Amino acid sequence: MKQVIDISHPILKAPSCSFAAVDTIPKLSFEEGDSHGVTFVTSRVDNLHSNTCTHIDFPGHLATLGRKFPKSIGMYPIERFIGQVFIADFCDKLKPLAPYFDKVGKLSVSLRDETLVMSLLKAIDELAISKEDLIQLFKIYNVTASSLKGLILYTGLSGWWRYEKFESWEYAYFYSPFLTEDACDFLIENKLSFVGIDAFQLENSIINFNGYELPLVLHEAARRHVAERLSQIELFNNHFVLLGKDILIYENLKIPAEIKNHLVEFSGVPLNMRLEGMNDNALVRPYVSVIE
Amino acid sequence: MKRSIRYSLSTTEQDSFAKACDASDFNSVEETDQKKLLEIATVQAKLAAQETPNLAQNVRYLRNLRNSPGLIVLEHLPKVKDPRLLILIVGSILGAVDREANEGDYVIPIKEQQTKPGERPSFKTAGVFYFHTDLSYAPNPPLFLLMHSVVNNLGEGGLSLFADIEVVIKKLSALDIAELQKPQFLFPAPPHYRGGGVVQFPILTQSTEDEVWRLRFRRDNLRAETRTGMEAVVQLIKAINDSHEEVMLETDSLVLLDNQSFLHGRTAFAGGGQNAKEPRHLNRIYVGM
Repeated sequence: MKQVIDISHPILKAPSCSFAAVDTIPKLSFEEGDSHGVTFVTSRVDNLHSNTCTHIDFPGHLATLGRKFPKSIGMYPIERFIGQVFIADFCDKLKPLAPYFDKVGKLSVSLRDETLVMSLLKAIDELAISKEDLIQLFKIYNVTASSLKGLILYTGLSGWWRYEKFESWEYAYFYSPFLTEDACDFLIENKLSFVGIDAFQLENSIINFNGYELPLVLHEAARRHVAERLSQIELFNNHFVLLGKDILIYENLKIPAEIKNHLVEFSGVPLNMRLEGMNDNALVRPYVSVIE
Repeated sequence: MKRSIRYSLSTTEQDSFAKACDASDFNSVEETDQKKLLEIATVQAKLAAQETPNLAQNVRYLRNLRNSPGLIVLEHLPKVKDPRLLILIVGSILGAVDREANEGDYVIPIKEQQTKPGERPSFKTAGVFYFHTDLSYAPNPPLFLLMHSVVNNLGEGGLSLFADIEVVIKKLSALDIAELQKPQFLFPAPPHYRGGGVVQFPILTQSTEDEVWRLRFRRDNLRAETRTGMEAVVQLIKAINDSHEEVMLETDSLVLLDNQSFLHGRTAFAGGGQNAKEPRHLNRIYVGM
């Protein structure tokens, strides 16, 4: 019998691994009620965000795209979330960043050292995955892009998953590989339904900075660099390009190393939520089985 | 900023103000007795206003709601024995110094304090504090807010951010303004606020009498009952980002602002973790009419 592998992070009574300045601890309580003489207990979870832990980003997650794709999550056909997927190993992309972090994944450079801060910011560009990178990998493993329902990027970053909050710039989990514009176009051309990643988000990590963070406010050159990069990628960031073509994004996946560079049967169907206006994110518990 | 005023104290004004602050019976005031401090400040404010009429006139200009500058920066204030008295005196020149008991005492120190990891931004944290109006989560936010820069060294971060609602509103569409005027926004209180709970209000209101815009806003944890409401918030944030200004509130300067027509925020600043010799320290008070 094929082994079924759960690739989600469980939801606990703790914050999801993130830097969002919001209270994101799910609150569990219980209610009772009776029906036909039998008393039941029903739980409810308050303060549960639709992008807690492992989740799917839909086009409505971007404010600018919400009106273009008004359909609710439940209106997506189930086939969009099931099918053959390749787990593409790009953990080597993270090598240029390794010297900047310590054994517990915390940034270990002196924030007062402008040269080091600038080199860290520039190293982020080296996380890019190009169309050529994808084609090379597909060639090695004999994968045809057009036959895939989706692509999952394996980075190994899920090892840094913690039920804690961090500053956006201080933790390794938030620095992930991302797709270049031509790589996004390649996936669009091949009509993939979704892309996934075992990291905080599929995006250029430079967007974790807005110019006010400590590493930047201590160095004017660093602020200028980030402002320039943000303006360059504004319309080409992964979320905008992929969601703009209705290619969904799975984030915070938990991928074991054993299945990297394997073809898998994937299932990651969200609940049939048809609440009006709910077209942004969905909680999900995806699972895979390796195709021999 | 169009509406703001910068006022630099002359040497004579500095001397007069220092004298008013270092009042003779000051030493008898207990460290924690802020009510007594305020009583002294109320008396000394009258003296200070007489001795520094130009300064007093500029401070009181903020009360002219129809044509208020909205934001005033006083520069080159004197160093005094207890900076809390200085801000209380300036506040008393402006109006009635008030406090929100659930938030703390009259003078609240804004400096890095012991906080839990991941805590929402506040006067206790050293991270980025995005644009907001104070006490958005309280039923009646204060009208005026004063912040005195006791220590704020250049090059250590801690830049103040200000945005004028009169400028921001010109960048919003009529549809977004209409959404922001609906009482559909939920403002949950942060953990340090003893009042707790969630209040529900519009973000924008416009006085029918004088057409002046007022707002209540805080980005973190803000919720809307509709998606269109939150989309309008996204546009508001964009408008704020496109129109804000950064100001370095240098040591011995003080900012007075209309808390309901000016948003404020700050960049992160170097704290204990970065071995800052003199970490940023501002004092804050609220003033009503």
